[in-house]
Amino acid sequence: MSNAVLKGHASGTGTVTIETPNTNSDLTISVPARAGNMAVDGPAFSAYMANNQILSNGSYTKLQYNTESWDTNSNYDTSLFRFTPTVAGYYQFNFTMGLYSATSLGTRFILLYKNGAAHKYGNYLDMTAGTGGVITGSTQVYMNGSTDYVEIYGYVSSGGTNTIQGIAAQSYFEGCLMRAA
Amino acid sequence: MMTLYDKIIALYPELTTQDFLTVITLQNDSDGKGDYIAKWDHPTLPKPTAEQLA
Repeated sequence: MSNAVLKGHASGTGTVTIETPNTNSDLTISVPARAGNMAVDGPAFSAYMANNQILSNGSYTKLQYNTESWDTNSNYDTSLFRFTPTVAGYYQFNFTMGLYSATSLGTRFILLYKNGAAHKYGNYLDMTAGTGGVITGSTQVYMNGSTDYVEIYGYVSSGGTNTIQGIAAQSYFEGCLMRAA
Repeated sequence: MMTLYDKIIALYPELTTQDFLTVITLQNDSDGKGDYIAKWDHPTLPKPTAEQLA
């Protein structure tokens, strides 16, 4: 039979309390058979575009989600429009761009870049003149908790001026830790 | 004002939409430096020079 040991830290004077819930049932908490640190709360963020952004034809352009709704671990940069989590693990990301006033036919899509390279693609939309829509993407990505970062890029194949709407409900980028590494 | 894409098309009108999704990548990192050629792997057309794109 393996043993369980509770070890106090050599420094510090505080008391760590493990508190059980109010229950009349017997409960067992199983610890996974691997070493590491427990992540009580993982990083989570949500950012959106507060300003319209113009996309040029034929160019993969980083989307400027410049305003945060929340950023629990201060891991999102509103100047670089980049998320660099400091907790290693598997993350869920959702990303959108509300694109309107397309002036001609063309293909539009959105994608997630990891460490400066195209990593996962979202949906694409073939648009006719004078129409628009919200183009979305959703994916899971492993992040190493130190150097890995993600950004969102948009692409339009043609059609002159393509404007991403700076509206929080239409153009946003958000993510959270699903499972620690 | 012509975009980088417009200049390249003016230089090589035979290029298609598909080329810009496969062998050529133009990119803009929203850092104030504008569009640039991130990848040029066209099998027959040489990468434009800075003078050609000026």
